[in-house]
Amino acid sequence: MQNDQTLDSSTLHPTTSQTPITFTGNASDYFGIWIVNLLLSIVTLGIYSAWAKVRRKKYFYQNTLIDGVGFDYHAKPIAILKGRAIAFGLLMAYNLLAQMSPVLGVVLFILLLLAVPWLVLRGLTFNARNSSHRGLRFDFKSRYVDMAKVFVLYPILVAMSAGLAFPWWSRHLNNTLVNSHRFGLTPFKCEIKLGAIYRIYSKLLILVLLAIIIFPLLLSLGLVGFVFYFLLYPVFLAIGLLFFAEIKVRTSNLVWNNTQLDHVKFVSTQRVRDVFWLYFTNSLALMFSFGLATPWAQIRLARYRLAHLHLAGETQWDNFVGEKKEQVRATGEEIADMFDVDMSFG
Amino acid sequence: MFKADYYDGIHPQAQTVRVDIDGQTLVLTNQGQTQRFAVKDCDIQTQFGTGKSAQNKRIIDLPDGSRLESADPDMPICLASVVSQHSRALYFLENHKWSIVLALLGIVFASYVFLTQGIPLLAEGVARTLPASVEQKMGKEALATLDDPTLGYFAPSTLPQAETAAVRDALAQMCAHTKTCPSYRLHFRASPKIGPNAFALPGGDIVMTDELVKLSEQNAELVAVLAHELGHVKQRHALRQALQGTIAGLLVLAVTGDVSSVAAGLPVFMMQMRYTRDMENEADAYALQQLQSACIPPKYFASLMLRLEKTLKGESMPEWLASHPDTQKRIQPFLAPYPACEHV
Repeated sequence: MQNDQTLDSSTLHPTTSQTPITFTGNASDYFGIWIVNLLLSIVTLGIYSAWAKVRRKKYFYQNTLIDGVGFDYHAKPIAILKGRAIAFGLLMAYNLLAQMSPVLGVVLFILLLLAVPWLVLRGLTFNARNSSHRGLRFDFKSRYVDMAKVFVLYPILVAMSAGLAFPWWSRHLNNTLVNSHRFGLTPFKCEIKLGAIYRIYSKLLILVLLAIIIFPLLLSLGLVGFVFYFLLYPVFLAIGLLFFAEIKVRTSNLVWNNTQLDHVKFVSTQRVRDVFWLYFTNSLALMFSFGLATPWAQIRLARYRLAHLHLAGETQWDNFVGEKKEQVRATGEEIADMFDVDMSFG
Repeated sequence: MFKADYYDGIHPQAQTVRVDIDGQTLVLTNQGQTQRFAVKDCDIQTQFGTGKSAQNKRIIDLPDGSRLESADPDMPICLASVVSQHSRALYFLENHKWSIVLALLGIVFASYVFLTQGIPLLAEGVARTLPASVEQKMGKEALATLDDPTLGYFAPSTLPQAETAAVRDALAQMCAHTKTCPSYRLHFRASPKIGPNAFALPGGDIVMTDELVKLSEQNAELVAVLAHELGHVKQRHALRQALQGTIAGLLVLAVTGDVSSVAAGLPVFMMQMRYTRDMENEADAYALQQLQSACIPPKYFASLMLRLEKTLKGESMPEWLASHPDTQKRIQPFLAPYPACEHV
């Protein structure tokens, strides 16, 4: 037996080649949630912020629908609170010990570097396992070594290449992240080509070269100073934002359009100029509303992104299967005893 | 009873099931088979506002990892007896106009209290943990910036060596008497741009302009002003002020930083440019106490201040005047008779 909604929406577009992802959140509803979250977080001196995070994520997840069925977020606020307390305690200890002796500071820094892959792995796993769609949990399966490569070793190589290897790292990062995720037992697959990602960064490279030529020219004309601060600075900010949007949008499109989950392919059609305009107007709104426009800004960004993401072809949900509940609970409980804390940075 | 979509956690397809609430037990009927769960083991999620587009939907997480989703019109009545108090309260807070308005007012009030009380306290705490070397480095950098000839704030002092030496000696004498001065370095600079003024930079660098020296009639007047600046140094006001600006900026970033908005921090940085009146009062109290215990008549502070006010007529007031609107009230303690002095 199927639920009525699923039948309805699949009979609505039996021959269309795309399944849309709909977003039903709206700014006025979310404003109430956001403001109550903020107030309770302030009143409880930050403790409620863990509950606030879950509430916020639930709102966005549950308002994201495929074939009329939403996603959900299941993290326990206590686990998030524990994670934050541990992170805070470690940070304080690090600062105190590093102040006591520089040698100890270096040792701790190396230890931290060694811990980064583990922390990222835990964080991504926590996030994936606590996300679900149609009762099936997502999962993140990777190894310490792979995380160490992507988040420690390769960034060092990128720095040594003066940033020229950055697109190469971006490709590796996105491939690894997508390929490690699973929906139920079904892994996502993603293979981005190196040429495609370098093409995205080519315009940025030209801009940097231009800046290298233009700056000394301005300096030699003695035009820096007044002209720089009052004329060029806003222009540079706008160009910076434009390129930020360009990289984000084109990378996001590239990753989604090369991702596959069983028979389901994704189609992402975001446009640079739209996203640039969203970023630009969001920044202005936040500035002039002293941050009160945050719910509106977040909602319209989410709405845009999801309105431009579709599933190609029809979704045959019967192809997917989740893990046996007992297994999930066992691993979950095992980990909960020691490490089941939110180490993600969101 | 109500109908719900049942997701078993293994198969992505929903099954339509019938749910009954029997006291504190949730009874699930699926194709003739029934399962019973204690309500306290189920997570009846707090629903979200119905708004314009979303449907009035409720999600229930069952203890075995499966879940129910229902938008059945009969569902709210059925669940009425088992929905928890805090869940009701949260839904009410999030969805009623007046609770949202109240929350907004509460946040504005809390931000005000935090900005005016919390941040200064926090800055004081951080200032205490920062080593003195960091503070001195900040002061040196600030002085070097102000000394930059292209900016045109400061030029080397044009006063005769004997005159500046006399001021230095007078201040050193006061400190020798009181024995409570913080360590300081006194600098003289010519500054037509700023006019008669004196500043305390972080870490104990004090700058006095030639214009102020020229305006004074006695060295005791200058010592009085320097005692006030030493008050700022002693309390580390410059560092605390800088820290307050930084903390306020970081806070704004933390609140609004969800969407790329570094620019939101700017208004706050511009807010904290001067010493607060409390800091001025602290420095005044320190100056008065220093002058009294060194047997320098505090009235010299008042006399220089009144002359300055007359000369400047409100334009470009020095910092130790500007943040205090009522000069008369401020100089009263300095004009009051002070305990008899034995040294003189």
